[in-house]
Amino acid sequence: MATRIDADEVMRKVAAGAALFDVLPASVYELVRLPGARSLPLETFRTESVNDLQRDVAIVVYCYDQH
Amino acid sequence: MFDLIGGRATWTALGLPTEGSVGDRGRVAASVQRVDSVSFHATMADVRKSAPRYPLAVLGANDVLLGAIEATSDAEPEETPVAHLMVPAPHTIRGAVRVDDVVKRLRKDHLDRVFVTTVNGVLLGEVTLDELERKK
Repeated sequence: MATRIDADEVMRKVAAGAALFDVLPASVYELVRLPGARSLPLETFRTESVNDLQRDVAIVVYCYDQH
Repeated sequence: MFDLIGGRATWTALGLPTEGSVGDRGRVAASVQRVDSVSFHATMADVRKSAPRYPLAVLGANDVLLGAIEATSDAEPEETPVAHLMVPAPHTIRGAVRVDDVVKRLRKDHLDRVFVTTVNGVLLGEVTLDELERKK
């Protein structure tokens, strides 16, 4: 279960090294995304997509609005 | 794992910067530059230590923009609190505003720069008329 955080907290976490993921379709990600976000479309998500992440790295995700 | 409340829609509504092929193109968010700032609790001695460029942003808790110090304050005694000298509630704009609109407003108001904040008043930086005109 994800903990919901506001934009200020997202900025703090990303500055502290958190990985930021955009779970929107790749075509939407290409148009507009948060700075530094990686594309991880929910519709095609596979666990191998995040194999490169360290286990202790915080993960922040976002969708278009509130799901 | 953490989830951004309100998603990307809230982020852009706050005027925060974005990337991408559309991203902030045509919006002032793409032209925001760093601006010198000082705490509301500082004195002119603190200001002079940093050799700032004026106008200097005065920030409260959570980097909320409270006011600005103009160059005319530079002659004030070192012990003078910034809070006594700042011009409160300076003019600000959001990052989502279109460059064309801001250029018109700055020209009309005879201003060469303006602070950029989120809707919550958190300082993001400033944009200058010169930079915006270059990007038009």
